[in-house]
Amino acid sequence: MARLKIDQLCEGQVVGAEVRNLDGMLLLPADAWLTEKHIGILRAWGISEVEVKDGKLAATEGDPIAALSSDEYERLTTEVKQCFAELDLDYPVAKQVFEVKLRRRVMAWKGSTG
Amino acid sequence: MKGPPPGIDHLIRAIPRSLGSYAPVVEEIERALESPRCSLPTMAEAIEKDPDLTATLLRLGNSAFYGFSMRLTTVTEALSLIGIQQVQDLIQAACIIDTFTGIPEGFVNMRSFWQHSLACGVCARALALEARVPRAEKFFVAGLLHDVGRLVLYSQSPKWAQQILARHGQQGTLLREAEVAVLGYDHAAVAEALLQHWNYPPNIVQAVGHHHNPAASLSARDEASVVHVADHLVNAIALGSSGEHRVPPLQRGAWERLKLAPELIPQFVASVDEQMEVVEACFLKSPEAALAA
Repeated sequence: MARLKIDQLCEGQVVGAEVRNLDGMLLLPADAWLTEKHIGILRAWGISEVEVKDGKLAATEGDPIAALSSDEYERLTTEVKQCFAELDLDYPVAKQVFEVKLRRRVMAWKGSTG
Repeated sequence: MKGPPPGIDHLIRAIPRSLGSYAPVVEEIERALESPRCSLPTMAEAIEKDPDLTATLLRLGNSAFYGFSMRLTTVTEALSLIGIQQVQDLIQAACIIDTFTGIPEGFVNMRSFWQHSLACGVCARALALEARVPRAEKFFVAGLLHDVGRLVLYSQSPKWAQQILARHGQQGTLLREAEVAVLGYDHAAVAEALLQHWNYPPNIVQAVGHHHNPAASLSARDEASVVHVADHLVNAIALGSSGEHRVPPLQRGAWERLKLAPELIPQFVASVDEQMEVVEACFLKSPEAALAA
């Protein structure tokens, strides 16, 4: 799960937690698949950030992780996991740290392979 | 290895609190502060006698490290915005980096060590500012010094250090665990004793001494938690290294004490990256001359 700014949302991402306006009115339920129309509605209500499930995070345009083949992704995530003495990816802090490290590793690998 | 490992007191006794090339300006500042007519301009005059320090101070003052909206052009402006105590802390940081020289490259790469330490200082300060921990500026020095105990071990007890590093390399344990297995204490305990010996404020001493186990700190758990989290983040993004091969574990209680949202982590890392460029340029100016063996 990650909290994304409204400008980072794109069609096909899955909403992680229900989105309500300031009055508590439900705008989108959890697990909804985002459409352009949804994003427009959220913007109209002044919603600045939305929780999004990770499966579709990689769909963000220009994301270097999204461009990896499944073999490359598997190899680099395994390598990054081994860097940690302990790693519980169910703990949100550990997950954030892991994702930051993975992103840097992917960027470094892309840089080295041109 | 024959005989018992050296005691911590024995190790720290031989470490001078050196002022290195900054000695004249530090003494000048101390004289200015003791004078009943001490003022910002007289302090500035003392600092301006060292052109290198003046340039460093203005460069830091105009960087993302402070993020002031106005451009600083004089030392007096820098002193009034940054504060006298903080300027002294920055000079002290530069002195400490000068203190440890001549450590064999085989033990630790000194540039990488100080890069890791500076990044930990920058990150600890950023975390403390965000978490609104009192006297957040002090965390730069606390982060900078968190692993200084390793340099004491390498410089004062090279034979035992070799044994620690061999164990770390062969058995795949954390470097800290290898220290405890070989010596019965770790680098954090050595740093704690050294900083106490150098009369550092107790909260900094505790923050450094408990940076691997903040829950054990009796009087500075928040401070130790800040340094612990900063060390974890900086190890994870591999900004320099103090010799540890894997990222030491994060204590959940330490993060939770800071009451910060996990989603802020990418932002902290980006902020450390942004600040490190100038911090490294200011503090690691001549690695070949000052830091090499």
